[in-house]
Amino acid sequence: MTKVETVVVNVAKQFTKLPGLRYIRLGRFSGEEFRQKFLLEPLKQGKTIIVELDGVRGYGSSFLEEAFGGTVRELDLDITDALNRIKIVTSVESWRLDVEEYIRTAKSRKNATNA
Amino acid sequence: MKKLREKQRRFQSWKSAYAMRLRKSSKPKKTYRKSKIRHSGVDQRVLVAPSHFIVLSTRSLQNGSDVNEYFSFLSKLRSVQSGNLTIDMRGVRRMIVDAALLFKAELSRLIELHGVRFDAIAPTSQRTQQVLKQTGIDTLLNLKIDIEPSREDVIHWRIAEGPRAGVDPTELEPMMADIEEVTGLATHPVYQGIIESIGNCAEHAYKNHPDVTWRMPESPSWWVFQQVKDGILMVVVCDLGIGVNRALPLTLSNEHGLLKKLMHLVRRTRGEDARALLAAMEYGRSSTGLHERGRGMKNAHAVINDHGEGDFYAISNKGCYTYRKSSPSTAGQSKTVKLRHSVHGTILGWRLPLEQASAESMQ
Repeated sequence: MTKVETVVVNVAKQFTKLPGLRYIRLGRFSGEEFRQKFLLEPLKQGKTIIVELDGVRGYGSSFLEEAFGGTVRELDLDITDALNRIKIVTSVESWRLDVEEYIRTAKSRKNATNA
Repeated sequence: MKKLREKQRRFQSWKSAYAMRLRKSSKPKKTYRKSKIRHSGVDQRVLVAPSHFIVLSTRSLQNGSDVNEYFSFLSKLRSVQSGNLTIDMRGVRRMIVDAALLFKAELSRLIELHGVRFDAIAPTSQRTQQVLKQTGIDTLLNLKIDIEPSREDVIHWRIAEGPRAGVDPTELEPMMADIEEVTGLATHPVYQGIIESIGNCAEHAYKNHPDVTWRMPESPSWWVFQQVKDGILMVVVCDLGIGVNRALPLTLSNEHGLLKKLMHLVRRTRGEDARALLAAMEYGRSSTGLHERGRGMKNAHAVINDHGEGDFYAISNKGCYTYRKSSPSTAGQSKTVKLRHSVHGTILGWRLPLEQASAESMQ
């Protein structure tokens, strides 16, 4: 049995304490930028990611949706697989629930867009 | 004897009523200093600012004379298309956070889009002078104020502003540092409210709309004022965009059915702007497959719920939505009102007591 490699990403330490908006075109420290820098590559390589959300000033929902929901859409991940491979560590329960919701509903957005 | 007493009583009553009438007629009528653009000499226009800068009164909303005078002043200011304008600030005694912010936004817009050059006659009130300096309005007015802000009710004002594209969240760090200083909390729900509101400005507030033929500001295009005072955190975010009433149909352009459903839900609310605001709140709450969109308003509103208590208000053009939660255990109460005066944009404001968070952080 092969051991799945795990990558730990701490948003506050490795990215920013002040997460920004949804898209790169809107400004610095966006959800899209975070996704591209920290999430896509390890997941493409089949790794599991532990994302530590604490230590920041707060998150806008568009940041979290674009980072995590956007990852599911871009890599066309299976929802169960995405939930298994993207682990959220935080003391703020609502952030974890939000991220899980964005992962679950990412596909429905894609389906709606494709429809 | 009894008859005489009755006569005396009636005479006394008539006398006091007569005296009252006399007093009323001799009392000079209260005159309000109306703001008007005065032309003096060679093309030097002077606009007199009102004594109170206030958008919404707690008791009378927009029916008070103070609010009317402020909007009359603002309307004259907005009508300036070019050249120089002197603003006579001598009589300004009180500037409420949101009204000061709207004033600053309008000055920035006129400078950026019309190249208006402002001058000002300095306020006589030291407090007002300090507010102008602390908020950077003095620079826009080319006003030289020598005193450094020192008053407790002024030094805690913080400002941030930025462009539609290229938003830099680090601009918000001084505000968040202030909150951390008071509460001991590095993370605060109000950050979510502020960043979502700025995101709303960047993504939706300045969309092209067929009704909007006027130019809209590029940089700055959003403004934030924050004040921490007496354990109360006040945060106000403002834009001069198209308003929720015009932005919502554009945001939901691919979902006509949903828009129709939302507008049906809020059909009994007075005023199209107020209806649109309420619909935007409902949209945030509604469970659609498109969770990631349109949640800005919901999050702005949820800041209060996450904090436990406080007030939130949203004003978009002539619509106003207020939400109050008086304690963590009680349900919040919301109200929608049609206003008399348009703010020509959108203002979102939060008022949060900080003591509770402070106590929690000590635990």
